[in-house]
Amino acid sequence: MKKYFHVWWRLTDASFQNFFVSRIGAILFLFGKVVRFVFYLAFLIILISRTQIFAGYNLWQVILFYLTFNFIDSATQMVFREVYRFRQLVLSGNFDLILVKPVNSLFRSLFGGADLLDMITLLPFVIFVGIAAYHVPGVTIFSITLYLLLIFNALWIAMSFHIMVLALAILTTEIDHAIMIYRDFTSMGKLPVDIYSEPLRSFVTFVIPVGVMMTYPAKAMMGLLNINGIIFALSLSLTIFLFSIILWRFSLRRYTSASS
Amino acid sequence: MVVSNSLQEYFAYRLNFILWRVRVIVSILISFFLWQTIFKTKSQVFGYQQSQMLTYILLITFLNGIVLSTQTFRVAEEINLGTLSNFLIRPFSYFGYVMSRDISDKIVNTFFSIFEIIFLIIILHPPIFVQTSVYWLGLFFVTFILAALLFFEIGMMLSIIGFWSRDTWAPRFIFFILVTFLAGTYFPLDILPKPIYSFLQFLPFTYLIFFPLKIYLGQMDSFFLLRGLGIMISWIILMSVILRYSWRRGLKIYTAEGI
Amino acid sequence: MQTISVSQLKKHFKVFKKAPGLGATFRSVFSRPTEIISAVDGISFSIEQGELVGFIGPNGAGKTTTLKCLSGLLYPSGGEVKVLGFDPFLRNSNYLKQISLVMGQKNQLWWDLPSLETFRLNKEIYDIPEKDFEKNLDELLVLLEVKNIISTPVRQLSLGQRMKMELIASLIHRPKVLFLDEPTIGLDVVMQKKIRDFIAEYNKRFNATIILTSHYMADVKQLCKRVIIIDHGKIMYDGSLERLVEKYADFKIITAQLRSDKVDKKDFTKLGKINYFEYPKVSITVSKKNIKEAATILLKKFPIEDLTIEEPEIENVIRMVFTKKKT
Repeated sequence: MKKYFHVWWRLTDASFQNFFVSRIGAILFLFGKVVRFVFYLAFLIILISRTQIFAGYNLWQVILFYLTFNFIDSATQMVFREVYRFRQLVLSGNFDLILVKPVNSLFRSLFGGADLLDMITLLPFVIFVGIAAYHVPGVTIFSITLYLLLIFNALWIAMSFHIMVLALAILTTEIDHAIMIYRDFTSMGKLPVDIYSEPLRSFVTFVIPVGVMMTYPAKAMMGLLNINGIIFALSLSLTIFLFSIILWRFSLRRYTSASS
Repeated sequence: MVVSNSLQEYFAYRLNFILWRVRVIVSILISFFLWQTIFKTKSQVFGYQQSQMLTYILLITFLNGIVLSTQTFRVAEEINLGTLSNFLIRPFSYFGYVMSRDISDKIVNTFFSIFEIIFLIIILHPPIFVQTSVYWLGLFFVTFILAALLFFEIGMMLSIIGFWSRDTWAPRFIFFILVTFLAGTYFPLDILPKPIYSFLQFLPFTYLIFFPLKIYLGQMDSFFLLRGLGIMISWIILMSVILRYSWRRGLKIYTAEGI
Repeated sequence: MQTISVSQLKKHFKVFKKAPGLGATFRSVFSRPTEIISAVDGISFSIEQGELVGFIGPNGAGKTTTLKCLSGLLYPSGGEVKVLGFDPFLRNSNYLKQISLVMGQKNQLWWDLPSLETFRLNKEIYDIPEKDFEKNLDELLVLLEVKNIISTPVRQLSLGQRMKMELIASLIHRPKVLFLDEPTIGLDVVMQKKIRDFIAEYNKRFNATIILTSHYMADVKQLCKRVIIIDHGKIMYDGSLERLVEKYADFKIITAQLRSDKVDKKDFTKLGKINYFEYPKVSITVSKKNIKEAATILLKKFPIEDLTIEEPEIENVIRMVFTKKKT
């Protein structure tokens, strides 16, 4: 365990150093992300201050949904940054050199270096969530606990999807941006999924559990989620996680029984 | 000839292409349901009827194909990798080549976008606004062609940065984000507060998406129309002058380095 | 105890035959026509501690596949493999800590950062105590003469310098068993020599067991007392280089310098096969049992200025091993 922390720390250290190698580009990217966040937030404020109510939620509630989405999205990108580089690793065959090392290859491919850029954005999100939560009625200590639990649950689901993306990269070299598909679909969670009509709503709740990941935590904080919803969320993430692990094992076996 | 080659190339990258279409559709779906939800409480918002707004959102798919799809980022790659030389030594116009590559890109994307729009209309059966006036439809046609030209020029400018710097993706990313908001791909720009909206009318972004779509909806008086066309054409001319100048300057650096 | 023992190792690959076109791509998700290729077809050998063995064979002979099976990257289709008493495919940490795999065309160094960063990462991965790390690193840096570039970002290093750094990254945990797959590929002659000297030194100093594959005969000639020749997944020869020449080359090469050109080329063919004839030089391949006789005839009947008898080049012998198999 201690060893894994040390390895992770080295990888993150290197990723920070890499950031300073291409700092101008990195800062421009950060700037772009901030602009996108602020613009969309401004758009929501303009829109909902006109209509007062959006799918039954008031402005602060919608903002809480939006912030929760952004926090989960950024945290995921920060921690699982290595996944974006993984396909290249498999294509070039350098993945071999990771497999022959005495460190779990899934750990290395998943957590290989946190992204400084996204880390910078996390703290402001936490503060903004606090401000929004202050303005939303019905928030209690208990509902905040549920919120944190479901955020963790969302990150767990995100991790499972990232594992599937890794497995997919091993199984087929044809799919280039599987991770982008995942991100596009999760972006549907920047608004509460109640707005989507059937059958899309079921799709984003059960198939790609955007609703469970992005909408449930904020709902729990507002006291709008019952115990069944929470049990469902937890068991769903467990199922997805188990599936992703099986898929990863399967892909690794395929890799080691047939490679070029 | 070049168009046909590029079309064939598409099939090499077919899965990536499908992914790209998925992105466009997901983004449209989000906007679509956002506005549908808004119109559940009010029948008119910011001067738009539900049918007008949803038509606006759906038509973005179409304009995405015809205006915003581009391959100009490959020019930057060709500059940085030095493969540009292979084109320069051949007796044909590189600009013509790049342009036909973009046209084929637009053809494929537009072709798919039409099917997607039909599909979305069948699935979601939203109230839509059909423009019947030949006058507005004609103007719509003219403006989206001009918009495509303007976007092509900007895309080339972003790639020409490659002569001076290897970091061409970051500016392009920022530009992409600016376009998504300031061109009106999330919402029509006239819902913004008056001062911001007036300011945006002087920027080129407005004319890429918002202006043609506004014309399709026919929501425009002739003063606004003429002024808009004037600003748009000025931008196209200005950009072409800058483009020509910086291309020559860049090429001098490129050939001096002798890549 | 044998460090490496391989018996009846087999490795088959299922190769997908892929039809072009979008439709075929989708169809292939469900069922794909396959073809089975045996990359390694029942090979057996064993290697003692401290041996330095060369694997030779043409592209696709099964060299890299064997190395991958030994390092646990590939699961064997049949047979048994034991290295240091471990079953490599289980990829037990205690096993992986004692081996290393170096592939000349693959890299583990961080491209934009100094090599030292990768070394430090490997220190954590292999659980190397700080003191040992410093000592090992220093030793390797001195041996490879690269102390001065340890803080240079990898992207600024030359190919040879990068290979040296890759070697350090792979050896920092002082593996007992080392698999080297084409370690000198793409390097210039001087750098090849340096890497070779280093491998020999590492082998000697730490009594490490090393398997080396290479396209360059010079590598094998200098480094390996023992060679294993593989072709089409089968072992063609396993033994010392000298014995290889004795066993397969039942001929020698006679090269003669002529005094005058008044000779008939046809007369030479009676002695053996003519390799070339360009006045004043002639080279003939003569079978070993006829060598004395041929030399005598040459000296007696031809206007000879000078004459040498040589063993054939090792490259030629190996080429013969391969061609013999085919005919």
